[in-house]
Amino acid sequence: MVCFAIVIYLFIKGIGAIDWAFLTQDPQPSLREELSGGILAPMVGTILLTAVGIIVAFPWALATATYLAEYAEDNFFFGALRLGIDVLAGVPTIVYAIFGLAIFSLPELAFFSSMVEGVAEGKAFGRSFLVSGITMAVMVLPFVIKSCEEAIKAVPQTFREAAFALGVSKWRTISRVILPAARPGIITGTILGIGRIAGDTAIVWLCLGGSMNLTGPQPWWYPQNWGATLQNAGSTLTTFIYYSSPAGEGNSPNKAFGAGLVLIIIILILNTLVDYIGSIGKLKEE
Amino acid sequence: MLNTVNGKTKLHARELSAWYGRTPALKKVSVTIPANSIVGLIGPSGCGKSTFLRCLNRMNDLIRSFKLEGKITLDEKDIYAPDTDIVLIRRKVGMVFQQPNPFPMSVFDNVAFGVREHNRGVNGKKLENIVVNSLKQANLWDEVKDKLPQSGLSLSGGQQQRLCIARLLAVKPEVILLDEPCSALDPLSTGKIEELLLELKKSYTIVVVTHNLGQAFRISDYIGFFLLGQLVEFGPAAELAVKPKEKVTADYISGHFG
Ligand SMILES: Nc1ncnc2c1ncn2[C@@H]1O[C@H](COP(=O)(O)OP(=O)(O)O)[C@@H](O)[C@H]1O
Ligand SMILES: [Mg+2]
Repeated sequence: MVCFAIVIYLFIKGIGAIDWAFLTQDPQPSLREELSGGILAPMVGTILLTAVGIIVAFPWALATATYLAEYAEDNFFFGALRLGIDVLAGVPTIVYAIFGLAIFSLPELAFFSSMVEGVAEGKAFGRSFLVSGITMAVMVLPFVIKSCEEAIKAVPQTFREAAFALGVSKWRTISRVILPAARPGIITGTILGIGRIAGDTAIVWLCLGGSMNLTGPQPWWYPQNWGATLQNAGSTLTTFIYYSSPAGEGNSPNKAFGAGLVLIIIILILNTLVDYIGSIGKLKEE
Repeated sequence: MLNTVNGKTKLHARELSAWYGRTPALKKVSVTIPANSIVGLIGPSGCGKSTFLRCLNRMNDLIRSFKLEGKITLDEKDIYAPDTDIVLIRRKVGMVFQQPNPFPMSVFDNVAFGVREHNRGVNGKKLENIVVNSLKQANLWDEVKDKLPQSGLSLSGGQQQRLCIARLLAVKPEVILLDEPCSALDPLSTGKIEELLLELKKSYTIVVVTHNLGQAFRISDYIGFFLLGQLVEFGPAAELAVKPKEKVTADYISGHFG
């Protein structure tokens, strides 16, 4: 009920700010709302960051989940591993953000961002789409692992037995029968992970840098600039809201509401996708 | 222990004992299963029939608490020897389960699945031929020839069970194990599967666990009677039906026939 009221309120406040210019112009640094531009760069930022995060997290999570569900034995080591995953799921994202920034500021890892110039001993900037994407991936890992593991364990034992009884090896059984059968659950888990990345602020704030616009070479949509864009900073809808809202550092409340509404819509679309994919899976089983 | 028709032994178990944790499930079971015959296994539930059957293709390896002593040979080769390729054993000794368990794929893909796994090169017309022949062998072709792209799960229970048999025939095993294959099926489907097994024994060795004594005597060449983990009696079906050696066997059989 409260959630619903918040969405309605956001809708009323935000819908007025959304027009074509709002969606297609970059933000401008201005305290006068009518001059402060649109949300193109933060929208691109949200999409880029989410893509990097999930592309890193998905294979890692799926491999871990498969291992836990199909190979791990009931012993102390895996008990501790499972407990660790549960604990990580409860760690606030600002903690991941601090670790991410600290690790990627090491000069050896400057490839992921850039070197800070004029510092004698050498220090990486430690803020970029790659850095924040990887940090996001680690942050969502426990959630995606959990839901993938559940999905794999929910595949009936009879499918495994059937494949084994045909003389199919364990690995082929997993890759050809079990994982395809678990697909709807795996996709659901992945999309929940996407939602978490799109909605996070702390990691963006610390690991993506403080710029509203993409700081890579422009125009960012030229293919030869893509790699550099990922090594550089930017913003997302969540930090845009912070920077433009009077409650944060800005003076453009309507634009903040507009961006909030766009973010909610993106997350709602993702949730609808979850339901849709889930229903395909159910239809097949019947 | 027993005179086989043509003398060739396919499977042999010697002094087989098995446990789940500490609970014994089989006690010193010895039996010879002749090639190209149907062996029926009967007995009250919980007496170890499934356990014995699942030893024959090492399906019990999946259960962590399971322990085994004794020896099983397939064509005189010990299938529990340390250097055994389990996957290869299961390829030769296939299994059909109590609940039909087609994969969540099309009818065609269900039958093609094992073939594709064992022989990646097979495709196109050749694969199609194998699928069609397997479905024909399983007496299912006429019923599904227009449904090949449909999900295997959309077929009736009896059709699903024959699909599972077709899927197995496609990979050309030598032995087919069936664990109460008809207990979830209606009498008509049961009849079709019995007919099918009688045809298949020309080319395969078949071991079938059944709750249905009528079925056991209709289709089996040999019958084994299990009780509390022991193989109490084993012999030609005709002999067991008329004059079983053991009194408990006679009691069990007459108890069931009233
Ligand atoms: N996976 C298992 N774990 C533990 N005990 C089992 C398992 N499967 C079977 N048993 C036990 O082993 C005994 C034999 O079972 P089973 O071979 O399934 O008998 P049947 O097929 O003749 O009904 C039973 O007492 C049963 O409870
Ligand atoms: Mg049983």
